[in-house]
Amino acid sequence: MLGIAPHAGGVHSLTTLASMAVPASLLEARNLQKSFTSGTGLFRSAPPVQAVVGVSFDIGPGETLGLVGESGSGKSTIGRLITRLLTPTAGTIRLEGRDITGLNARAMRPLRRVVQTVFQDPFSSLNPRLTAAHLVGEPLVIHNMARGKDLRTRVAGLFESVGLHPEQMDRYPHEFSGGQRQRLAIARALSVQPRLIVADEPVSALDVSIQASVINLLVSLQERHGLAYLFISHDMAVVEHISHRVAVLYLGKIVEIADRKMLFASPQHPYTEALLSAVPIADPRAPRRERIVLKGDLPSPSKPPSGCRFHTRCPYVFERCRVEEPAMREIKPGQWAACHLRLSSSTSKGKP
Amino acid sequence: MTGATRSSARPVLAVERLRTEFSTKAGLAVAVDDVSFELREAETLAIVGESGSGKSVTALSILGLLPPVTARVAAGTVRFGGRDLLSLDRSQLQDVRGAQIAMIFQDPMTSLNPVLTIGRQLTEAVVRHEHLDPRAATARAVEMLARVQIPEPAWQIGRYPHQLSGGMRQRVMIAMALSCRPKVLIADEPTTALDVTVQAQILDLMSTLQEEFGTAIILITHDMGVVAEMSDRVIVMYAGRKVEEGDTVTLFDNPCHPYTRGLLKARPRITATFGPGRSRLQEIPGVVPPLTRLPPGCRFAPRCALRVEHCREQPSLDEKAPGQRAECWESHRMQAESTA
Amino acid sequence: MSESFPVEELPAALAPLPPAAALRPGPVRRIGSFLLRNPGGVIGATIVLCLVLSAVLAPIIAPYDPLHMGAGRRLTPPSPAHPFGTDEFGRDLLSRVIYGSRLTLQIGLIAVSISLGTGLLVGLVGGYSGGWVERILMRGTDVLFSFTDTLIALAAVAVLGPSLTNAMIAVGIAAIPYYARVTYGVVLVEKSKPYFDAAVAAGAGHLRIIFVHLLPNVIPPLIVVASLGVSAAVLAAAGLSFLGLGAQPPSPEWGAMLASGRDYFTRASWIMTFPGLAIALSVLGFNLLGDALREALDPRQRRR
Repeated sequence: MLGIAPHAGGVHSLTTLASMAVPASLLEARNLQKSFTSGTGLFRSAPPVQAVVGVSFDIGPGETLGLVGESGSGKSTIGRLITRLLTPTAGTIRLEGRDITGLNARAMRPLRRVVQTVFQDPFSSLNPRLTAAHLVGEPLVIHNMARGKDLRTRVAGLFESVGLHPEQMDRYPHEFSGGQRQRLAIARALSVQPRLIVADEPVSALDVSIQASVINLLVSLQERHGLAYLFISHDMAVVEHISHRVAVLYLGKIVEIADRKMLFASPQHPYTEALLSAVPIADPRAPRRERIVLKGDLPSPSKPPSGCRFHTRCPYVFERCRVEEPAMREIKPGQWAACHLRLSSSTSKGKP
Repeated sequence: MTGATRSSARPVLAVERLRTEFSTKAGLAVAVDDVSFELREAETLAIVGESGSGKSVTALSILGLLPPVTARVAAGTVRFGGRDLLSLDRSQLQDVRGAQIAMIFQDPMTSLNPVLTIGRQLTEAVVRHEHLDPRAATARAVEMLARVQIPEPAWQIGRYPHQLSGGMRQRVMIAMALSCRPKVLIADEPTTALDVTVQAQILDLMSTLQEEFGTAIILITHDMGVVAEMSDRVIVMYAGRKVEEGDTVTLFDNPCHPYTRGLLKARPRITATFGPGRSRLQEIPGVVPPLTRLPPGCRFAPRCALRVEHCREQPSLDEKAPGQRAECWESHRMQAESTA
Repeated sequence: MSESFPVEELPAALAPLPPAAALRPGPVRRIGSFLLRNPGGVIGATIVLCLVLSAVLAPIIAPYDPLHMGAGRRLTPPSPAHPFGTDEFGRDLLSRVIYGSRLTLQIGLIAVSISLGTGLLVGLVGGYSGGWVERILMRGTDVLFSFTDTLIALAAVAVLGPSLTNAMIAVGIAAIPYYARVTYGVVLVEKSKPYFDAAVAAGAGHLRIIFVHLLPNVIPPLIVVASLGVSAAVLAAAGLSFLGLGAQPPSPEWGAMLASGRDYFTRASWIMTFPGLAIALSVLGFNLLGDALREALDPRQRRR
């Protein structure tokens, strides 16, 4: 249905956030929480910043979960939690069935073959003092997967698979363009044949015409190698293009998570609606649709609003929203949202 | 704002054959090469391009804001109010800046002075240009803040930039820019650094204010969606040259330059109705040439699917359709393909 | 949307890069070419070169044995036989100054090696580790920093006893905080960059990150500090010798020569003048070289 080959375990069964055991799930995050203490020094008077609260999701093999949010949504933090660059304050992360939540660096190391990362900034995500070959091949060296001549051959192969000339192997990152550097970062991530790649805004810093080629590359690599992606971005259009399922984040919580088509065709959470309507459409003839302009500003993550975190800006707010935090419920099969409005009536908002 | 062609033909700003050069270690870089355009009263003109296109440099050249030693305007005129801005001396130019032509920049974090209060920065322009006394100036500042929908403006006057969010800072920038009711507002990527919901608020605000004040806007951006929503006419720039111009509706319907078409097709679109699966996005192969080593003839040719021998000769800016011009020898083949 | 373009499509990333030689040449050549263009750098490099040559070729170019008393008559002013004159023991000053350059170089190299080596380790380990290790190391550095170099050097020599070697060690220890601080600063900056996270996420262990990733970024600023540090070390050691805590007679160390020449200053000023000039010139040379290196290495790195 989505143009990809279904993998063992089936893409369909993974669209539910169920607690019914889905053993084929590659990554399981449950009730993740991450707090940062702000303010150092003797007087810890500033309240901790809760960057991520109660976040749960699954990623199945070969599928792309898009993580969308704006500033303060916690999406980057989630990416760092999943790759264990940070340790969750609470909650669990299971990778291929194994609990990796509290593992120390040594125990984590072999598992780092399974999860790799691609970062946003092509300029600072590559060590400027190392050659491209060294950078791309480093994970192989770390995991003792190749050495010497074999290593160089493998690196050359990786270069080709991301569309770069192997002859450029011994150059330094600054000699490559932004798009090419992102390809290097992708090659590096691919080197150890991971099953999941966490991509944190991988195309946001690139020119539009280059974005297209990198997105195409990511899609084709997924099809070729059966990779799963956690695709973190603020760019709705790109997320819609590349994801199978999408989770929308606001102020550290997932407010909606659904199959891609359903989310974009009929969003159930007011914030998702607002996000979608805010994206400029590249069609001057399109009727000036009824754009939902959110009032007010994003609340500070260290002082989140009571009840539903979105209530201070929600156009449909009513009394219950200020008091009680809505639970995540399955509004339609495969579409989950946390909103009192949806729970009280089962009618959707009448979108095509 | 979308689709309506302004009937007012009076240009309020006319840039003619502008050429701006930078001297770099690698040689002379012509950042803006023979660019001409007109801005009409109360219209929004978008300048679209990617990195290296010269769109920001064009704006800086108009207002004389180029870095002094390394850059210079080598040729061209900028006609505004009956005078050539490029020929004005410093103090004359200062009279124009802020009062007649205002500019807002991309990054609201660095465009505001962190050690001065908002109020101080807001009143700076009115005091300089309209010689208002402090009380009147403050009153005007409060009024402008209210106009840009900042809550509790009288209190915000005393706050510092770091105490405000990105969206609010950009509103303050807009308030500053419009405080003297300039005829022209140049907005250089005003929403690129902002969240998309905040972007929607800011763009909305700019449209509203434009209607109220009748300001003409030059909107510099790389986002075709913003162009479609905000502008009446568009200029597309590539590697320092203007490669296409026209009114927004017809340009989007029928681009006459391969680069414009590439830009339009490269963006994934959110569509409520879905095609089968994920299609490949249209890529533009290659990279933008370095400005110090430009290919002969059409600069886009090395990356262009339609290139032919003739492209070694710089194409002239031809009228391809009423009101639409492009620099391309092969536009007719694009037309043929799109109607096929 | 037509996929069949009439011209062969050039895949995006395979557009050839300009030949490598046209871009950044290797760091050594870059530094070399920059120094040559910078007048300060040229002068500094020349002085340092003279110093090195003088030290290496001392036995060949020095006309007399520096310790030979009575090579000439006592306290003779500069003359063709003794271009720098003779001191109170009849030793040829020129030869003493020439041999003194060896000691100067030794001081510079050894003292800086101690400071650099230790400071580098402290800064790397402190910056990388975080937590209480970082606090202990960096606060310790701060404490050391709060005492002036001379005071520390004095204390060290007082404990170890006066000799040139001990003076070098003392000066070396006193300068550790500078190197530690610079290293620490760089480590903090680099830690915040994504490539650092990428290395951790790839599974790199501590040693790998420190030596493969952090070290190459730390070295350029340290080179700059070191070249300026050499002149500081020379000056400090000369100071100690002047106070009698460093080189002991009859060693031809320049600071010691200054001290012994003091009594004769009114009668035979050349005994102080020439060693003094030598110190000043060496310090100048290293400073100029250090400044030029800093310009060559730092801003150019940023300009991409």
